[in-house]
Amino acid sequence: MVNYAIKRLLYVLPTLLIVMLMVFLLSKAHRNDPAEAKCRLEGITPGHVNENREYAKHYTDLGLNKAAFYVSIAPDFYHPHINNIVDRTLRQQMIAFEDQKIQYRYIEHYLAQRDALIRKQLADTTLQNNHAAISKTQFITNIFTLSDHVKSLPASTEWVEMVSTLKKGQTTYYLPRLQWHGTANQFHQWAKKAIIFEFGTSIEDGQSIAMKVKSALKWTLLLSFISLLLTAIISILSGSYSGFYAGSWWDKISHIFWMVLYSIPSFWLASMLIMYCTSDIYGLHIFASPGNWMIDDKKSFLGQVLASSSQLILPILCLVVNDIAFFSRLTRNNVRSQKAELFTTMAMARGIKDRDILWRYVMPNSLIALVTFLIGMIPACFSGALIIEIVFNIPGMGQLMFDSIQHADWQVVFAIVLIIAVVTIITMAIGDVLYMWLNPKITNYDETPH
Amino acid sequence: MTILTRLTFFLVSLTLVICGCKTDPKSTANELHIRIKKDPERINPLISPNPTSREIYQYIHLSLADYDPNTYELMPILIKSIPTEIAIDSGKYKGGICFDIEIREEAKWDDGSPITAEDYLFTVKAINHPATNTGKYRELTENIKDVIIDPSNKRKFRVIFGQDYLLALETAINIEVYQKSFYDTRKSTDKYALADIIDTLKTQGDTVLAAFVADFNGNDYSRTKIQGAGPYKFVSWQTDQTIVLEKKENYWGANIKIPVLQQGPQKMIFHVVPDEVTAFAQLQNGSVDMMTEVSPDKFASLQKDTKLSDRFSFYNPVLTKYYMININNGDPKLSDKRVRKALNHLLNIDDIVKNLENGQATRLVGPIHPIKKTYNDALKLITYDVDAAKALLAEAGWSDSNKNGIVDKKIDGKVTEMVLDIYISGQELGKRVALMMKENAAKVGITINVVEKDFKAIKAENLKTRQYHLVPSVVSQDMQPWDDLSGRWHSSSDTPSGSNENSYRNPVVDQLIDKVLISKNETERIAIYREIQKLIYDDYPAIFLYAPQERIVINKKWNATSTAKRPGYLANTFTSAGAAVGQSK
Repeated sequence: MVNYAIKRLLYVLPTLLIVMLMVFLLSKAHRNDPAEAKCRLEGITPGHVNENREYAKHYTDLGLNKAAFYVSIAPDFYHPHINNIVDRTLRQQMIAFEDQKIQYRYIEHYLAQRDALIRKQLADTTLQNNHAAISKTQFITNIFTLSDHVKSLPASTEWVEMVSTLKKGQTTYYLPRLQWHGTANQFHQWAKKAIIFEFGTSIEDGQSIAMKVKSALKWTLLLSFISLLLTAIISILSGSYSGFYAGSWWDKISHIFWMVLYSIPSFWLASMLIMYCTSDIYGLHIFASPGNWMIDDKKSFLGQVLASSSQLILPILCLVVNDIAFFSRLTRNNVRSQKAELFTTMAMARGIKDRDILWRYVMPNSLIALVTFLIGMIPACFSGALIIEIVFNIPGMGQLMFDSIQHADWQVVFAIVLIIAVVTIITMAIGDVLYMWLNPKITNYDETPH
Repeated sequence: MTILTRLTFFLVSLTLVICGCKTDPKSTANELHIRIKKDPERINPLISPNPTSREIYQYIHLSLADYDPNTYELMPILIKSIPTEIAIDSGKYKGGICFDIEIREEAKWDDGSPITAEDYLFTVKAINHPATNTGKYRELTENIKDVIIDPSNKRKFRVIFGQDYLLALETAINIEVYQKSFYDTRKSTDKYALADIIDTLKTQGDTVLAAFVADFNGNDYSRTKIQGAGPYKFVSWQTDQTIVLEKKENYWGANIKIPVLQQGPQKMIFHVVPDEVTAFAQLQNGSVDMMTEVSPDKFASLQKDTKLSDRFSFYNPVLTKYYMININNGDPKLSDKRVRKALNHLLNIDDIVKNLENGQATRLVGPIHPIKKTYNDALKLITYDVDAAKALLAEAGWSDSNKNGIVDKKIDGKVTEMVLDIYISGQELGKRVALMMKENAAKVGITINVVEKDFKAIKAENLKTRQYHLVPSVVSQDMQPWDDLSGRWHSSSDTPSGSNENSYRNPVVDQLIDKVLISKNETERIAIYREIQKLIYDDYPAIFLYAPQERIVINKKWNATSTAKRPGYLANTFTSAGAAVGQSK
């Protein structure tokens, strides 16, 4: 069993590495640009006079001018160091032309020539009637549209020649180019700190990411674990009785009751509870307003929890209703199937009380499925419930993650995902070990060659 | 089983006893609870000049002068009077202009030290250092070539600009001033002249200055160490929860009759509540006293609800922003102004204002806000007229030649059908306007496809690349009377990095925009602005919709007024109306 546990835990490392890579690659695929987000936070909107200069500053400061990863594989006509192009427009236009299989040297040459010619022609007042058409070339990145467009421009021979040179750069055959970028890459810079849980500061507000995550995590964990505990207790009690006395009035009523609750969307329930139970307008001001947090930092966490406890009950209620419905049905079905087993009939025949049969014989055998469910819920406890957090204004992990994605604050997103990944992987490993303990056959299946 | 049952009942009962019986704490008479939609990220006007941040820092930090929300003119705050422009005829800065400024004697920082010209100079240096995150202001303050302090009076100084330009006065005096001894404890900026601090070569290798920049950009000066000359002091900030400000004792400006210097509630508590339903519940039960940006439907329902309306005051200040639909003037289908005019006729904007804004908006004719003195009110609002649109399209050569219900025309030898895309970001207003446009356009044979995308994607993939037909957008403006129109309407800004996203080009408008930047005479300036609007109006480069009004609800326990300055109210001017209204019974 020890060997199995060690082996299982060793899988954690490669899995973590894969998760880190996946998160990193996904962030690169997302169109939110952290440098642009920083400009926006500074009050620099698109088109602002200082936009290009400030963008370049943030782009470099954030290390976005470095290669993304240790290695890259790309067609050999692609720019070998595309991230080095600090000017966003040029970089995007380079990519747009590259996508049409044009070699990067031809594109570089065209872009430089184009801008020089546009400057020259726009300065020429005799060409004023053509200025709109001349300017338009700055926006065209489709080679065919460009070919058509330049024919109508003044000095069209020069333009046509430029575009035909660009066309010559189009390639049909190419080889993949494998490049080694060394450790001066974005992933390495992030990963070497992330593995020691040093996440740096948030670009959104300059706060330490560790502090932000810690602050959000405490509320998320508090809510989630209370919800999980209540879910487990209530649904095991309700489900086990329903399963054991399947077809009884309790089974029928509880089935309808939980199904009704399960059908209610939690965000709607949350809004209804807030409207009707936190205001005296409808005469039911029995709970405190949600999210009216006035938490004294000097208090201990327990003190903070007690001070804000009145606001926790409604979100917990919304979090548990769906889970209880599901979990109680799961328990019911397991208990029911165990009750049909021969050992239960034998126990009944021996005259053992129903209560003892249920808790001594039936429940232990139903536990494996329930443990699977509960283990699966633990990582979710760390990720928070976005909608409930937003509606009840709880500054938890769900909200933090959502805001960070909105602001392209990838360092915060990485940190959260990494924490959730670590928790998930470790929980799954513990879960596996736990199954083995509950049912030693699992080990045998795993270790015995078929 | 018995134990488990008992445990469950015990847990449930305990939770209910601890939590359920507690309702909201009553807000005290002198605490103003304000709902804000999101956490401001930073409270630092130079580094984070966003609207949410401004809602809070306006009570902590003061500028030398600011716009009077009633007259829209600059009024002195930290200074004695608004300086007049002086032309420089000789010397190093010949051809430039300058302003002589004097700070009030009574103006003091929290430690009792006077606000001096040194503080102003430090502020400009901090902004101009290329590594500080103050890019928004740097664009303007880089025009300040020197600040010369009067050796005989430390509150007097001269601000010199290398050349004259439209916003020189605003640049010189509409900046929040920072206390040098508080923000630059190492005195790292002292050894550099203003001109040198911009030059990275001259400051290279200065670790003390680099440490100052890191601190200035850092977390502390935006979240914990926050201090200014305003009537309120920063007390605490719970991220995503609350921000507390408290009235300063023995405040130097308490007796000066300027709104921003007034002191009202003892405490202002800003509650971050993103969800409107939640905020509404808090407003109703009295745990929040006021909320802004109320949705039109909620605002109307609250006004109509007799149970509630007597507990709240309702305000609709006109804010300096407007909505428009960008038209890509460079697109071959839309390059004819008759087509653009036809599109203008296809929206019933009066109906939109009535139905979507409950009438709380003002229509406009062009890119200047109707509350400004430069607005051209002689121009007539464009009316909804499907027949006129049809006629204009026919005049422009668009007809349904293939009888498929869509008008078409030969452009560059190819038959082109009038099928347009309108890109919307999912905002309810944009969606509804787009659908109305689609419905009306179908009546004249124009097919409009509504494409929903993330606004950042629309910006990057469509507006910046000019690959679009129509995009609804919002334009936010400052209160300054002289709008800089060069960004959005000058041909030189029709570049991939420029903000002339309509690809609007008119050489006469270009000349007038250039002229207004250097015009000295106010009457002449106003005339130029009106002429620019007239020319833009005649070209129909966009569909100008309306300037919306803000919707603010305030508990009647406060005597409050609204202002045209964002966010639409000045909480420091609120006074208690006596007995609390609308608290839990």
